[in-house]
Amino acid sequence: MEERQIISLADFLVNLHFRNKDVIQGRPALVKYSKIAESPKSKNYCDINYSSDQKTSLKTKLLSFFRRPTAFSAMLLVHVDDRHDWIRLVRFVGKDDGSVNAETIALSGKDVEKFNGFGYRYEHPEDAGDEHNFFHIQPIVTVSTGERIPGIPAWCSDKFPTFYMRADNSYELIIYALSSLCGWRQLELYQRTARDDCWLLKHLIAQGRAALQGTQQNQ
Amino acid sequence: MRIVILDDETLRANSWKATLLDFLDDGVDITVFDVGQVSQLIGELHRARFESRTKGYRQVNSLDGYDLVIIDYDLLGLEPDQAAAWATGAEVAYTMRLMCNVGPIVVVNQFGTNTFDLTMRRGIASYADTDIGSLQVTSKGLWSSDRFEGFRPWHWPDLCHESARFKAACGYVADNLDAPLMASLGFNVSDTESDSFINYELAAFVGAANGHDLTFRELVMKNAGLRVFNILEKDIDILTSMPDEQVARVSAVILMHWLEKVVLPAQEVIGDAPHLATQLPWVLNDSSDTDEWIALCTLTPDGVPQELLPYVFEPSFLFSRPVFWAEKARRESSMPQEFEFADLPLIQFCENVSNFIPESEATSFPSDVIAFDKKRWVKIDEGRAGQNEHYEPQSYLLM
Repeated sequence: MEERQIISLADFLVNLHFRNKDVIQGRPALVKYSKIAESPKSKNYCDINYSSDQKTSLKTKLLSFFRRPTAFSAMLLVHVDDRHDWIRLVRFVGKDDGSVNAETIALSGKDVEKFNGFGYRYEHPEDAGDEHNFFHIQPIVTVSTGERIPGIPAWCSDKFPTFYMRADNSYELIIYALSSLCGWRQLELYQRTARDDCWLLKHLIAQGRAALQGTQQNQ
Repeated sequence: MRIVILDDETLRANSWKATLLDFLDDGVDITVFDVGQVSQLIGELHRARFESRTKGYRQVNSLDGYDLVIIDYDLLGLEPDQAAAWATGAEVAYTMRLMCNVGPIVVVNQFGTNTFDLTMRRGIASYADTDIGSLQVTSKGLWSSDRFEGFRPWHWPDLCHESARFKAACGYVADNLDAPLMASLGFNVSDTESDSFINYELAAFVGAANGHDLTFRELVMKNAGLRVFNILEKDIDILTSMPDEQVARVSAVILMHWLEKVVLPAQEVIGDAPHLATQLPWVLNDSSDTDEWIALCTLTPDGVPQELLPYVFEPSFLFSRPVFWAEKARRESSMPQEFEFADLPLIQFCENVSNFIPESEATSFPSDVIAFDKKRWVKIDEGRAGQNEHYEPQSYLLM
């Protein structure tokens, strides 16, 4: 990724993470989700934990990860849906060639003692000859560090369905992941602060706006 | 406009007067109280406040007719045998606000002689309408609305216009004293999807959290704005006999402090022209032209782009500069298909000089404004001769 993209993404993701942490902390009904912020006890409550780093530290780590992707990034809290009781998380996974995949997890604490969830991996093309040798998205049942997503049924496949993504690089892959998790309005917010002419951002935002206009015309 | 300066250093106050009269309009009249007059006034204010707690409200009229008060924070130079010497300018500002019919109050040196607050939050709880340093009080940028040069923090108002604005705001609040504050201003406190939704953290500063709305009167009587203007517990009794027009003045002050010191710096639900245009650059006729950006750096409505006019916040006198329903504008103004961010000049709006500056000459800092994006910019000339502004906390410049 280009340096300006790295800085803009890190700024945006950190702001998003902390805003959503604030939302959870500010609403007693969401207290359950505060228990899965990384801490010595959080693993006892849920295998999936989001980062509890301080702001400056989290940003430094993200910048460092994007500049030299190795292993995986912190787990970021990018959306809280307090109306329907869901949180949405993303983590970036470095590949040997320096590119970045993303794994996304949605968790709900509704009507269960702990959590139910599901997840998807946003991936670069597999090796030549592999049937998934194109940018794609597919479901996951465990994350890259081996933890199983809570509440996911044993029969769920992590092989299919596979969705094609019209992406060419790690940056566009990340834009797709954020679009899926946060929606086009957040992409618009990102676009304005990053001042980014990326075709994919423009396309996804234009689709969102067009859909909204259609809704307004129908009303 | 009639200005009064209250200071324990009369010589210094007179030098401010001379400097100000050099460049202010002929219609400006400046009175400097001598040390004895300042002491007498403070004594009178304290007595009236104390007696009003038990004997009914008694207004102090000694400042009637003054449009603007400038008071030093450190008053230790007053006659030490009088109680007045032990008051701070901020305490006197508080008492004046409760007990007098007085216009905007400027407190000098509560936060240093020449500082720029990188947190952008330090003055929120101050009783001053404007906090300023003694090396800044005669700065032309504090007494003008545009063509700013050099150090001139964006949050400074134009003190030449503050008195008229203050009167208009007091009149507005007096006319709406028993109306709900948030609804009157147009803020939505319950529907998080609304483009006029004001987030809980901002609304809580005036007691309007969790969908609850207060009247302008309750803002004062319930001391709901205590995080921006704390009415001391022992003074609550004064409020019960305070006339409505005085309640309206106190309420207007709390309201304006909240709007200008808490809500506007966030640049979210509402925003000013330089910040909003940075997010919606296509509202400019020619966004590649740096001069068009610089034209936004004014406290007058002259520089407002045509496309932003439908979003102007009313009543406009509640702010010291044109302000817009920013979230509404962001939602309704979509980027033209042919627009390219790459065509924009690489400039940033710098809070300490009220101007757009090439990004290569600007430094970003993580302010503490209550917003999603807290990043702001300043221009610091390390090598400039005579530069003596202090940026605090310094660590923010390294983050």
